[in-house]
Amino acid sequence: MEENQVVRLAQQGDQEAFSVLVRAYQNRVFGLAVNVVHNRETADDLTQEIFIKAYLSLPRFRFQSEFGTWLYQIAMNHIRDYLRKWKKEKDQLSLDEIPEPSLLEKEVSLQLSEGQEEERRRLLLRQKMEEMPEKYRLILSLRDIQGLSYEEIGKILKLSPGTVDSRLHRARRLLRKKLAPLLSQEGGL
Amino acid sequence: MMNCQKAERLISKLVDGRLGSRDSARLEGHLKVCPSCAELLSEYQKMKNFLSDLKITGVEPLPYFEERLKARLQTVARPSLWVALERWYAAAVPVFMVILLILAGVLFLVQPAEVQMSQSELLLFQNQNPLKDTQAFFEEEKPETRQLKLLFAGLDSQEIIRRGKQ
Repeated sequence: MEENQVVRLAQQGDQEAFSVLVRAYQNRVFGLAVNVVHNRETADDLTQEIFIKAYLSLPRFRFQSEFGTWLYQIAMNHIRDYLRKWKKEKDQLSLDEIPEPSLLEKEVSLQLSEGQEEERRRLLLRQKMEEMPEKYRLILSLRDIQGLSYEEIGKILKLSPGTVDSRLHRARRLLRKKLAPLLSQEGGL
Repeated sequence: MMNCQKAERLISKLVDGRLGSRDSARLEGHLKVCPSCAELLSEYQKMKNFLSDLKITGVEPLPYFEERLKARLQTVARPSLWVALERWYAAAVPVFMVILLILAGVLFLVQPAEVQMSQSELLLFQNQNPLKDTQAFFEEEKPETRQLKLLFAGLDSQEIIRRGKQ
């Protein structure tokens, strides 16, 4: 059965049709979330919430885009809201609750001594990504981590190709500045 | 001559595989004479590789994803009345807006008809006694004069006076 037919059935309240859509997209939506938040439990919870939102919004889907694009738009909006909330909560934490900066370094040294240099690099990169504004973090995740095309990114984030290009450039420039001392080291991080 | 700011933008496009041949040649020329931009290119390439290395592939949600979702959906299930209302609302709002626009257009374009007033109404409107002249006719002593004045007054009363011309 064609996807649009399944969507129409789901709009009419067919639970099985909605389950078909969930099965078709759950891994992709989860992949989208996990590559932004880098935590399986959080990504799983976000994916559940995204499908609930999609289910509730289904009567408003007018087939003006592909169902997948529409679902990814819901997913990105939800992930963006989560990142904003998460950042706000993090900013509101008292100084006592924030881990000391040296903690990461200690952890890194320990991991390095155990020969896990790749894991150390990933850890540092994720930390720097988390420090970035969410609009830059999202676009870097979509393009440089997940490898989506400019056209796909434009559709999901509702941006023109020119805006995708300029935002991506600003995001890379900012991340490079954050990583500059480490990138300039011989052999990278 | 290309400046370093422009070169950085082109470097970003180059590592992304989106730089045209013309810009590529211009950037190459700049990199030959600018060691800091050549270093920048190396840093961008490293960064791109490290980022792509962050990709988590072949992952699936935690076990029993669908069962857990179904259980959650039952707690947030849309009432059918609400769905019907949502559909009606989505269709009714544009129709209502169109009707509202048409009504506003009709009210704007259709001017109210001009009000025509008789001589007596006009005098009343100007807070004067409309019987004042008639009274004067009957007070004339000579019957010929009285009849002539009444005759001419009868002709004058056919005239319609428009408020807008006053």
